Amino acid sequence: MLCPTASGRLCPGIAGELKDTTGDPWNGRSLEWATSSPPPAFNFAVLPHVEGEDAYWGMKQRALEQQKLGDEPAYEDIEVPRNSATGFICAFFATIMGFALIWHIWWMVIAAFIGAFATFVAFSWRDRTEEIIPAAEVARLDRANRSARSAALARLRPAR
Amino acid sequence: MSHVADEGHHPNVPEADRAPGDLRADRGEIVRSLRTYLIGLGLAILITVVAFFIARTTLVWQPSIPIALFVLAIAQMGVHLAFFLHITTGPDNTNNVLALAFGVLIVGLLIVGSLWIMTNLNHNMLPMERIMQMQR
Amino acid sequence: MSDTVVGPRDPYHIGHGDRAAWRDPHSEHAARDLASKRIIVGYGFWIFLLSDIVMFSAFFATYAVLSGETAGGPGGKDLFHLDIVAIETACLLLSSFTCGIASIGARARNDGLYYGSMAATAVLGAGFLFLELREFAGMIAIGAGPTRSAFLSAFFTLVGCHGLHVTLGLMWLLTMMAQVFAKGYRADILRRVLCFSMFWHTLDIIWVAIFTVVYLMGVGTQ
Repeated sequence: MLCPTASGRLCPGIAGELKDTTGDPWNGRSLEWATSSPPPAFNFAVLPHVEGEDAYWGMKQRALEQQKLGDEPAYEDIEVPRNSATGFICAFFATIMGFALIWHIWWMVIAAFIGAFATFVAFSWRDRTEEIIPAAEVARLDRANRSARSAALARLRPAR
Repeated sequence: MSHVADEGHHPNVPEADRAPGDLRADRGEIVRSLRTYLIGLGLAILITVVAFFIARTTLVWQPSIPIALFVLAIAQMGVHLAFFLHITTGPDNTNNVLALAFGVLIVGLLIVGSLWIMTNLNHNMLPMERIMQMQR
Repeated sequence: MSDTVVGPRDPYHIGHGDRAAWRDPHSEHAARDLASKRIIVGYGFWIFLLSDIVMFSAFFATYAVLSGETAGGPGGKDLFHLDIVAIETACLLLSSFTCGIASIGARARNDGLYYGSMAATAVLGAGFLFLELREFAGMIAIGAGPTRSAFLSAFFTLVGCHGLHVTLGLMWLLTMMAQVFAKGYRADILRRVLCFSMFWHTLDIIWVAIFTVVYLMGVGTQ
């Protein structure tokens, strides 16, 4: 960040009172602005209910007219894929294999290929491929975003 | 990836919507799938035999042979796509068909474009003997 | 198109909620439900296969442009043996069929059908590879290797790339047999079997293009 708050006020707005906490700094129209920035691991807490075009814009206009956010959604557990280092490790072996292919170091080609293949098979042998983000955690993250948006609501007017 | 339905939990999926290879096939489905593969195999063998025959025969007007081979190849690819890969016109297949159409477009552009450009370049080049003369 | 809802919510009928099938609560593609994992995985892998086909088409275009550049060396007519190509084609076509039987076997949870036809697919695929490697070795032995001419470079690249795909496919095949053996017919393993069979069928489609363009056209019309 080029705006250290301690050493001088180089970019006074961004780090201070103009900083956006809602995830929608430019009054966006489409649904990608409906989540926080940076977004949580699950992107959206619930599947948005979409009617017609410009669903998010419609949501915002309703919220601005009523001066309150829509009702809190019913949070559920969310399934996400488990992280894995396989891609990184396979890429390492693939790099070695590429180097060896260029210089015709055949034993290294075979060794690196076996390494990459073994890593991939080990990855595919997993029994647990997904993990659950509990509803309570989803709710916690979403409520933080909702309170930031509530606070911002008071500062805005409905669009013409 | 939340809210994704897992297979095995669709008790009332209508026939038209089932993806090929949906779980737990019953006797009738197995027979129908087997028939699909057998028909595909039969058609593919037929087309292959015809293609190999046409390539070597003198019974056909010679200049038509490359076109005939091309048409037979396209037909056989279609047989493979429909009978083996199940790229059909079912409602759950629309995305696959669209993706295929796009792929065919790119392949067509690549091959036709390359041939066109290289033929044009070839045509505009001096013959080799002239080039060698100029270099001496 | 739609004769039902018109109004500010969807003035240009962009949404698909009006089609009867999409309103059916049991339909997989009902507007409110996502499709099953199997369909989504199949679609994603199909997109990958199409990108692979685009890569092959680049090799095809190269071969087509260079097919006449024999640099005074041997051409297709001198090098290709159509009877071997016919056997290779039969091997791959039958292996595609046995792969289809294997996916039926997986769906029916029938061990005999699954392992038997996967093994048959492996044997046929290996037979194809053996014949192809023998052909390559023969050509290199008489001095018609990939460095002899542009035509031969393009030939070895295109057909060799396909052979490489078949080799990797065989390794994947053996892995899938091992996975079902170790873990049974689990839903995610069945999705991988689906992806494998799509891959194998696509390789046969590419071989159709190869034997037509490279071998049949290469021998006949030059």
